[in-house]
Amino acid sequence: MSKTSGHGERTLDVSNVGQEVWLVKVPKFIRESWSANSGDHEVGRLRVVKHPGQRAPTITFSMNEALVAANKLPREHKFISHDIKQCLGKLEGGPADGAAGQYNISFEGQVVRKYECQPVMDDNYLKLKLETKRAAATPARQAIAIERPANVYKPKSFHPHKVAQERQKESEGKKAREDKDKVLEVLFNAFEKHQYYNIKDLQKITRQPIVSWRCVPILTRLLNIRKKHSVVLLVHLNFNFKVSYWL
Amino acid sequence: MSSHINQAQLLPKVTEYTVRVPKNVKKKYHMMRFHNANGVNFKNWNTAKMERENNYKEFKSLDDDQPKYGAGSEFGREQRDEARRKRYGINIKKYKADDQPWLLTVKDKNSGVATDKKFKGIREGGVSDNVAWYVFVQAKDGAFEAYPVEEWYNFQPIHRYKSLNAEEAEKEFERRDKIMNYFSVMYQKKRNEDDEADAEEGSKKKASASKAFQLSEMDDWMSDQDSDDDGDEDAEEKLEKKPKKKGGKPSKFVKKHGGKRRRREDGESGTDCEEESDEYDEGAEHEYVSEDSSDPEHEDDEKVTKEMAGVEDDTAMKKLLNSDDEDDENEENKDEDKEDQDENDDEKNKKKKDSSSDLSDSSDDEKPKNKDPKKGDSAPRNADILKRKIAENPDGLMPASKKQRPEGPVTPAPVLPSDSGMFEDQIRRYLVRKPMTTTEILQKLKSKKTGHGSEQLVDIIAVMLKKINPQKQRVKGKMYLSLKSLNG
Repeated sequence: MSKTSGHGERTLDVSNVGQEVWLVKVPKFIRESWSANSGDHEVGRLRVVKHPGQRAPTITFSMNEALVAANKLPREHKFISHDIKQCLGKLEGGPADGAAGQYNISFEGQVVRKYECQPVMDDNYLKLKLETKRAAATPARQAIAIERPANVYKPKSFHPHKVAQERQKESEGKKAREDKDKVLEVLFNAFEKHQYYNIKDLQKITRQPIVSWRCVPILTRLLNIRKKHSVVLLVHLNFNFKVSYWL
Repeated sequence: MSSHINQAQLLPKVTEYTVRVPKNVKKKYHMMRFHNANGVNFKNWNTAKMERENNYKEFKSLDDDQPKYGAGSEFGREQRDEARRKRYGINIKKYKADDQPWLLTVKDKNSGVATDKKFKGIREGGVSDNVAWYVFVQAKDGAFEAYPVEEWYNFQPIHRYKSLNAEEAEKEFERRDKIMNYFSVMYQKKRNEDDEADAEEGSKKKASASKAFQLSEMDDWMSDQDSDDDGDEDAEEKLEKKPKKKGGKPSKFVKKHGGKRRRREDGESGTDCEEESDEYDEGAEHEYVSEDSSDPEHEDDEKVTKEMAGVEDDTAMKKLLNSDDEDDENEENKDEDKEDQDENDDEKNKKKKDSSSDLSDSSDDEKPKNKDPKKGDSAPRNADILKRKIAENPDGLMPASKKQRPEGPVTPAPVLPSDSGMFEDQIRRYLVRKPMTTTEILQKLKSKKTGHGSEQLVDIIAVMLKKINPQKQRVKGKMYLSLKSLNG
């Protein structure tokens, strides 16, 4: 079963445990531009400046010129470091195309540094922000004026998809009244499978005209109505008949 | 710019790296988050396994309210439900294996024994649209490669606690009232397992270990009690005949039976605190009047019987309170008796159970004795007589207690001639004032606190009554004694 196939046990490949990894939080527009990046190009440059007095280096990131020009993105960003309060490990999951099934997973590395990429607040960036907000505020649906009137549908008696149904009905023929015993046998077989039936379903199963159901007194004794005032009337066998039949 | 300070020192070190976002990455990356407190060190991981938790059954059971066939099922229910769902647009989410939590099993390098650490990783749902996480990995050429992180999983350790199996649980359940320290239960089990594992080494420290680890004396008593648990049930009925039995543990210290004393001399201190059953004493008839009995034992008897008498008197003698001068004393006594009554309540019930059976037995025994002349000279005889009189009372408590003391005390305290006159006067006074039963007389005299034990009092009363020779009437089945005043 495809549903449960994804549960199998897989070995976690821990050969790469020693690798050190940086975790960087990037803003939305950077992500969009990076994911849209078609080639394996460089997206930017990372500049690590280590001052002699300071313990931690300052890192700045400058985006590629091409990307900046295309999307009007800010160029300079700061990398703000955060403390890692938990142990974070990078896990390599399954294939990107989402194929279900077994795949090997491996542990890719441990996060040693955590950064946040924040663009430098210049005019360019602020303009960008303003525009994104404006775009978010506009509703998705808009009312537009149409020139031609809309379609009008008029009722029909002939429907093409119903032709097949009617043909099948005619092939089955009229329902004839059969012997009581045969009908009873069919009924009992049906009630072996389920306890509650709709009268229409019973009619379909036994292929009897519906009038005979009401007329035959034995049948009225045979069947019990489940809930008399519910929307769907279901019937089940009377207790006496159950017992005698099974005997 | 040039300065006197060494420029090389001032100049910050600058390095530049290129950042690449590789395309066509076939792998998806996820982040695993562990809490610092768990002490997870990735480098210690030897081998690890991961699998998705299988919640398929739970998912299915949510829908499984109605049977699909057989009794209780409806024909065409599934189709009808599906049609209804489509009509209303209800969407049931399908079960996805990849959405289930991870189960991670890790084997450490350091730990020798295969103690797998187990973790459960639940996916975090809060990664918003505005934030994207990338992982920067330094490639071999010094450039960074940025990979996006798809999902975050929070991993928490799973503990599986050891539990007792059915047999062990039954054993502990029997002891549940007596166990004070539950921590030691599992600890002992663990120790026992370890000891069994070490059995080849021939270590026999089990016994001493359990003693060494007793956290309180209660543990010691528990272990001793276990051995006696079987004896308990058999001896219990017989124990009821012993008036020495008191509810609650403190009373055990009071008990100093000859048999137990002997045990103690062997050097085991724990046996003091056991409940009544003693293999030594099981089934034996106890003679309270043994030559070996010492004073403390005797005191105990008196103490016990005093309490028991107090109980009886309480129930039988309420009318006394209204009519007597000694009301205050009586109330005092009653208060004392009430305290004792709580202790003795269970015994009372037990005695009541036995008394009915005992009465019938003893009445048979007493019949031959009845034929003996009532006027016996010896005090024990009178005691018997008195008891017989009391035995005829339907008040079942008193006779039961008397019966439990077999044969009465062998050496009753001698009736001092100096006291007898006093008693006689008192009894005369009582009987003149109003007819009383012997129990009432006994209670009155007891409340006087003459310093005689209740047995002695009984004897004294018997003697006095013989002297006084009061009139006997039977009212409501009780024998009432009265004296007509001489004056008329």
